[in-house]
Amino acid sequence: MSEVVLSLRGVSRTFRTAARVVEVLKRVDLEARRGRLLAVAGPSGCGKTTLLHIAALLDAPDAGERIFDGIDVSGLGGADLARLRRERIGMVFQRFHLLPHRSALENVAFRFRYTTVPAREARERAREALDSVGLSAVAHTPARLLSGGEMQRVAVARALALPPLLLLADEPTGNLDADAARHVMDLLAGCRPRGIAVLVATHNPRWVAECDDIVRLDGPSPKQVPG
Amino acid sequence: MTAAVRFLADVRDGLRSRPGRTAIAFTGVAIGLFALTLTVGVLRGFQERARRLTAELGAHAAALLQAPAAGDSERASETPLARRHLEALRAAAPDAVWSGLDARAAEGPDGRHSFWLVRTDEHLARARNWTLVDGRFLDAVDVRDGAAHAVATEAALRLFGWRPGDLVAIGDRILRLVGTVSGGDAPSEPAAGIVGASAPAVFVPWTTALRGTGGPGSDRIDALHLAADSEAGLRRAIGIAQRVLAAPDLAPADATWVTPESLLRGLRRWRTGVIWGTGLLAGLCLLLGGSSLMGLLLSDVRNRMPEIGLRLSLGARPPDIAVLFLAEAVLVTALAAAAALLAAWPVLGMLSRQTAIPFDLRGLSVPVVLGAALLLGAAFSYVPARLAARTSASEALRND
Repeated sequence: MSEVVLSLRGVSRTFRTAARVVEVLKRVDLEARRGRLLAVAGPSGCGKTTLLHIAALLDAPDAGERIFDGIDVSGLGGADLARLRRERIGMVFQRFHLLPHRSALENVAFRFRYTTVPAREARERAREALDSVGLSAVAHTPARLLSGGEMQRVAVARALALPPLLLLADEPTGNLDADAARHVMDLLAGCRPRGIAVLVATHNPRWVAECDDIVRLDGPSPKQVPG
Repeated sequence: MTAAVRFLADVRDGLRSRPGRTAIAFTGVAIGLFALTLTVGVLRGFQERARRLTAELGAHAAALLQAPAAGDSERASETPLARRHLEALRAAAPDAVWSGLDARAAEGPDGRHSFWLVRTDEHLARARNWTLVDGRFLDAVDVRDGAAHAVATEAALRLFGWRPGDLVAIGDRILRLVGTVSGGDAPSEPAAGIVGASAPAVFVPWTTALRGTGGPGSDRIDALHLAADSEAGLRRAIGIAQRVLAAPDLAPADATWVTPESLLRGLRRWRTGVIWGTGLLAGLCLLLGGSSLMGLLLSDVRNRMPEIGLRLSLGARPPDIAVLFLAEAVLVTALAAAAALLAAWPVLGMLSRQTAIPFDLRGLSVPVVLGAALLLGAAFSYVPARLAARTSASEALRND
């Protein structure tokens, strides 16, 4: 098993509209390694989310090479990419993306929605994941009634319920107060001993400083540097 | 099992996220399907009535009916149908089976019910394609001798408690019941003035002297029946009869041909009107209901972009997303179909009793309505489902 979970080489991405052409990413290189937090830093609009979507195999770059868990994913079809996302990638979003009518526990168990894990087992593993983020007390509370911090912890539990190789967090603290943000960052840091590679997109220098490696997207040709 | 439970939970979630709009779409589709149920019920009802009318007349059979006269004196001055017409037709078209009858309502032996007392010849059962349930029909000897024999319908036997072989008092005579005929499932109420074998009736030779009838001396005929071995044979026999009866000395006054075609003509006019009315209503309501369902789903696709993105990020494939919206639509239309059918049942029963329009929801009616509901759901969810499936995960996740 390779130490490097995800490797991007010379990745570029351009968006074309009727009015203009926007080159969002230009020859980005990065490597996400097991047990390390990699910060993708930069101001709003610099392409952090685009880079995360490319890393999550949700979007394809216009140029460059993507190696995920030793596999060059450029030649894979939609079904194979979906399988990789299902089995090996977890995601946390700035706006949580919880299903508001479902309970916290059901939201975590939703991680198994497209897997073959039996419903009972999925529920059991979801309960454990919810315990691990300290939210067993609100397991049966509908997600829409949770606080922002609780919602994000449920989202982290959902991403970790089926332990991924790569965890992608897109501005995970962007909508949280300081305490809640601290809690979420602690949860992400807890992925280190579990050997999970974490990619955190953030514009907050405090969280960037806590990561092991950094890719800054505000330069002409972004390269990864140690944190 | 797990997959099915998860799938149903997804569909339930989708529907309850917009209860108001779901209810509007449900109501529109349910009204449309109710009207469709009405149309299908009418179609089926007319079909059944046509079948029974034809069954009542008999296969490849027709009748020439004497219109009822305003009074005996007036009737006497015209040229009513008589046995001489029958003899002339029998001679002109011997390939067909010809028979005649003179029917009048008579009081039953119980003094409470009436029955049809029919004077006829030995050919009537064949001319009407009746089934002999027991014994025999009147024969040539009965007719030649004016025998004290009678044949009753099953309905008459049931009504008066008679059994085959019984001696029964009819008018001023005691007659022996030599046979029983059945009219199958033809209606017991005679249509177009035709006495059927499903009605309570007793058939006696028209040569038998009987009080309350014209008696052996009367050659009056109320109805003249014929049967052929094929549709073509029937048309040929009717053509011959029309030519024969066009002769000045034979032309009957106020006699009307009743053929399968003429029986169904009136029915078809009704059917066309009712079906156009209900069909148009059904079409409009289904279009409106379907459009509101499509509107609901399209707005759902827009509103649920983050959810679509989340599902894709969790490993869903585009077909999984499409099926989700398709299933939601099909569930709404299937529930609407169930509601429409449940509501239609008592309403159609009431309409059937209070109007002349026949309704029938048996047979394929229910599967037709359910099938239409599923098709409707699939058709109107196609565009939203396709749109949802083609959504880029990256764009969906940005759509906050």
